Amino acid sequence: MVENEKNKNEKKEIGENDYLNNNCWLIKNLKYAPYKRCQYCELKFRRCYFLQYQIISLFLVIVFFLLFLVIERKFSYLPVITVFTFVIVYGYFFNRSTERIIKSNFSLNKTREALEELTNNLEEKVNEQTKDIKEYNVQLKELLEMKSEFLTVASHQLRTPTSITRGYLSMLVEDKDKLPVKEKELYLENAWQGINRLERIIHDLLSVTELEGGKYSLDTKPVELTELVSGIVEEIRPLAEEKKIKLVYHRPEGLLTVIADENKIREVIKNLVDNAVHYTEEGGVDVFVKAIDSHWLEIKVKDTGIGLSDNDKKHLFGKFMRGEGVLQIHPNGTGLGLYIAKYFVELMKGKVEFESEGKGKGCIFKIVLPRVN
Amino acid sequence: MAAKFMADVKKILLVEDEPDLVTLYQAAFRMNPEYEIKVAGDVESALSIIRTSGFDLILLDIIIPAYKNGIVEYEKREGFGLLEMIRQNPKFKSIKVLALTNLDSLEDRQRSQKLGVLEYVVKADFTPQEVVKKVNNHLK
Repeated sequence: MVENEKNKNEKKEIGENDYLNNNCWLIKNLKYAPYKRCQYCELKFRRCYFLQYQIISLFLVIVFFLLFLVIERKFSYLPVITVFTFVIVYGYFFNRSTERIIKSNFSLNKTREALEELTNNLEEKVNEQTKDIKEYNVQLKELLEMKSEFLTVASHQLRTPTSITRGYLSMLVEDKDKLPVKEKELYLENAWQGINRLERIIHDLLSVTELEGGKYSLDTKPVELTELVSGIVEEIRPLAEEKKIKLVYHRPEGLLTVIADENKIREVIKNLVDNAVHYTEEGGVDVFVKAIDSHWLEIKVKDTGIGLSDNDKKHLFGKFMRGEGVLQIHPNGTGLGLYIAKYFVELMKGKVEFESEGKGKGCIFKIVLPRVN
Repeated sequence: MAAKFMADVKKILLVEDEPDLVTLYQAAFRMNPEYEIKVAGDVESALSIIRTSGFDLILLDIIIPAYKNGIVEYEKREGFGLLEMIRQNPKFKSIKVLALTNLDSLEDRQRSQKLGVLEYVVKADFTPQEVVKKVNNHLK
């Protein structure tokens, strides 16, 4: 008995002939039948198989012939031929029916193997899906944590101006006799600012929630920017005059139009100009609107204010991120304006850019937007 | 103004960076002449002021900036870090601290308690005068 060790390691494609060989009558006792070649007779299967049965048939013929010879003691053609034919034909049909059985066995085996493969595949697929689901779960958890953190920070942001306003008003209401007039006026003014700040934070928080939730209802239409920016600059002019700084609008000739939600784009541009004026104590602010080429236009706001430190630049567009030491100069900023600006401008396929040489050296903010003619 | 003995004056440190709130609490404490109030706007100035003078009570805001090497760290809850540093000094292990903040989560309250905070006061819930009353109670 020869054991073919190759078959233990090799995973060849199983062919029909392999199963025929497994049932090779002559080598049925072999544990690991080789593939494709009958190891015993070294002939290819079909022939080997056929030959096996032919050998048996021939053997039977000879036996019968001899028997006949022995029993009948004479040579008669007809019975011999009959028997011979019978045996050959029987052998042939026997061979074929066995072959059929083997073939059906083979297809059964193939089906079984396919089923096994399917089951394995299924297991693999289920594992993959489980992995995906686990990943999604992790992402979901992260999102929920982010949301919770956002709520904590947002409620803190809302509480600050609330406590300020409440504090000032309580002093005015409960201790008004103890306060000099000038102080009372100051407190009233500060309480008013506190409420304004609160309102701005609520407004910005809603903008952020809207934008991030993807549920914003934008009313997009062609918006003419040169006129829009003119209006914004005039709105902020009183504050600039109060601070005694210059505010100049460099209006281009002709019209420049974008497709946008007018309210939102106005909010974003106003935020930039507002910031520039708030953060500048001397010098001035210049606002430019100009076409870069036939596809893009740019709104540029340049100021001589407190500028941006390297750290500021890193966190500039983060939520609730304010610059260093800005509380003294601009206590009512929400820290959300630039975040909203960037989000919205990028939705419009535009860009927000900034430059600053450092703290105390002013900065330039640019919004680049696709224009329509 | 009646003359007061130095021993009667209670020294309070207010650690707070929001200018309006500083104005408010200073005004509220000014109405009670037995209080002397000093202000620090960030972790570094708070530490240096504590080293130079003693205080009877600290009003600590949790969200304050920390300027490490001149760079602002945006890690928000710097007040806790400051308090941990204070508690490490055996001289200040038992100094009275009230948290005066607008955060209001369970973790923040628990962390404050672990650091020995006497009372967790949410600014939005109490007027400045009420805060002064609380300080009165804790310093009796």
